[in-house]
Amino acid sequence: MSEQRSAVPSCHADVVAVDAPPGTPVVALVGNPNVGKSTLFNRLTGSGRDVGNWPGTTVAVGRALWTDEDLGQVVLLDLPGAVSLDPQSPDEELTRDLVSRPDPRDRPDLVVVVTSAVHLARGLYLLRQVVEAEVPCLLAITMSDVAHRRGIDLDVDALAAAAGVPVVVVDPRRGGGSRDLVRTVATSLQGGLAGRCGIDGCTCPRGGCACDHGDTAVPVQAAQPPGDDALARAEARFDWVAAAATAAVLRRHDARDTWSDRLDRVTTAPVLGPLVFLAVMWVVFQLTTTVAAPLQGWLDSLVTGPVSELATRLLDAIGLGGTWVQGLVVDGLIAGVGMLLTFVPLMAVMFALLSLLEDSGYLARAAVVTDRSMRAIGLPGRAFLPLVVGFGCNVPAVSGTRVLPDARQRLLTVLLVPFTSCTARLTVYVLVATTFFGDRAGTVVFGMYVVSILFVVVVGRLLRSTLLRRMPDDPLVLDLPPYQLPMLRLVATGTWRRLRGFLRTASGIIVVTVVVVWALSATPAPGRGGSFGDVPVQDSVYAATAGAVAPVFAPAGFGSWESTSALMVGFVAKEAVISSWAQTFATAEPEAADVPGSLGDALKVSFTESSGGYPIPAVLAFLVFLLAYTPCVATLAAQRREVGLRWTLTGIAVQLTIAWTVAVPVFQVGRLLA
Amino acid sequence: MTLDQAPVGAAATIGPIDAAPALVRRLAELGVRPGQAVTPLHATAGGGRLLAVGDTRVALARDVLRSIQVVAA
Repeated sequence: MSEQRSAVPSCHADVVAVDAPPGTPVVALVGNPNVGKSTLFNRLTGSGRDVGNWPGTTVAVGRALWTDEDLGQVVLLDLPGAVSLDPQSPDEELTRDLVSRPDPRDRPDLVVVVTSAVHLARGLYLLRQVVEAEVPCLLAITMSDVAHRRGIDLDVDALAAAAGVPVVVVDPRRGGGSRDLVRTVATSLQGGLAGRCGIDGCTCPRGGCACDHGDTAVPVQAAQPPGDDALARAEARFDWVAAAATAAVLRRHDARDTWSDRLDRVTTAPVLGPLVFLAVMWVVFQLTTTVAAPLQGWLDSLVTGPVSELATRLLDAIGLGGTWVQGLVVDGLIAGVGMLLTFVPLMAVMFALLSLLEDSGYLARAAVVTDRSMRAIGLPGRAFLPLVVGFGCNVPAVSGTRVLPDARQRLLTVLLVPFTSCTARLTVYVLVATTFFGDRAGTVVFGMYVVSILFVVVVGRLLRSTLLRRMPDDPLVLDLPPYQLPMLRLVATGTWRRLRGFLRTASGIIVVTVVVVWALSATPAPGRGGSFGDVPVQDSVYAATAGAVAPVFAPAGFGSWESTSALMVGFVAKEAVISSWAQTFATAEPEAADVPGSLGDALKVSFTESSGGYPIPAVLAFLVFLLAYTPCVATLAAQRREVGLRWTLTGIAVQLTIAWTVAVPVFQVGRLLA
Repeated sequence: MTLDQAPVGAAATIGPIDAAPALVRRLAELGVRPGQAVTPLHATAGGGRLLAVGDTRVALARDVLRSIQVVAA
């Protein structure tokens, strides 16, 4: 096969991001959403996949080296789900672009069009478009068991003859048909089968269609304007699809009221549907907070306790105890890795839930139920899930935006998630509200959640009218896949794959940030005493930086270096705000947030001083700022993974601008009213 | 009659669709196109409907339903 590859040089340099020798054949999976395409991809490639955004886009493409003794090595691409090659979202556009690149040598060597037996006609429509793009292809059919239960069987040979391409029945959930697919792909790559495009009896060679299709061949490389011509071409395709489907479908009986239909009468119904949805969201929220929290606590105490103690003892043993090396290892590296580890249970729970909801088919129903209310901020119903999860923790919420099929919607949701008030912020609200508002603390904390929802709605509308003006407001037109029982093995492997991807991307950012903060706190400011690794925090470069930034917050009433320092640490993690105050005020950290003790007294003095005698408006402004500015470095790491560095930085700018712009009037107006 | 008014449970044949060309094409790709029969199954939360389109199920918003003319099949 390698000899043959060298005869047909490939320009796949940008396609092949996995570690593959030059000239390795590229096979792309293309299919409608929810037909099991990614499950097939995972089944074929095992755990060796790499999912990342395609260069220059925020659209995720799965890439993996597919190795098999009958096949050799192949780069397998999992292209975004597409209803057709006439794109209506950035995801579909990328699929269209990669399938139908202007130079045939840049296109995949083979496209496997994946379709479900239930959605055969729709899959055939996509197949026809791939054929028209003159790319060698074959058809893989999933969900034939579901179709069989609905009274539909397929005559595969008749379908292959009618469609003019090889057809393979696969069951990616259980592994059935994989060998057939391997053999067919291998034969196709050797030029034996694929490439017969089925148009007018054409038998094109692999690597490009050489024959004259006359008027029936419609290249789709260029975007077609959605005018009458395009509709007429679509009509011709529908005729072809109908003929192929008629030849292949053996209908034993009509599918009437299936159990999927009966379930839909509850899950999408006007009153019951939203109730079911709220119940599901409640379970998701509980599992991502209360269930994951004890595991997080256990991991945190393991790292800060035994692991740190062991490291300290080892450093003592080699004579480095009490030096800056100990600070770097224990307070920098181990603290950073520990922070990363505490996210593992949370992310695992979130990813498992995502897999369950997607795999079962419920997510599409949730999208229908919440569609109308979410349109208030210009997002489809599915965006509800990550935003709800955001109230538990922003990090899994950002990763959860993958449930959205459109890259623009994902981007907007990723930018909005930080405005959902996570539980880490709740601890600070409780401490501050108890200190300054006593019995009314509960009302203040509740108010913060109302403000959080207002931020999501208002900022959502603001972004749609500014940075994301080009995002269309398409009405709900959604295919509902049949319900399927989730398979534990699929959920487990999917969870592990996503978790590994998160750790790979987030680990560097989190550990480096924690180490940098430690280094700044360990370095004496110019003109202050002490040495590197042995300096009180108020004499460090960190405190000097906080002091330099503090005047920015003077108009909001909290321009003290202590508050600024707490906000700077809060950039790393909101959990650290209270410990930072305790450190700077040299008081004991309170055992519980609602018993502030001496820290509360110190805060009262500090806020009274920085606000010129108006502590209440200043504290309210501080809380609003705390709510709206960058949640934590782990969220940034997750954002970078989903939407790239540029949009992550844009998000930080948006958050800081909005936080400051709202905090200042809160203080100024509050001061006038006080 | 438009699709939002068509009786639930009875097949209806799609007639002209008065919507943006891109939406008309997407509907067609999902099987909702002139001459095809669809069956409204029930109302959904948010004011739309769930349709049986061949063996598949498609949820449409109310505004989309209103743009689709139908006649009883």
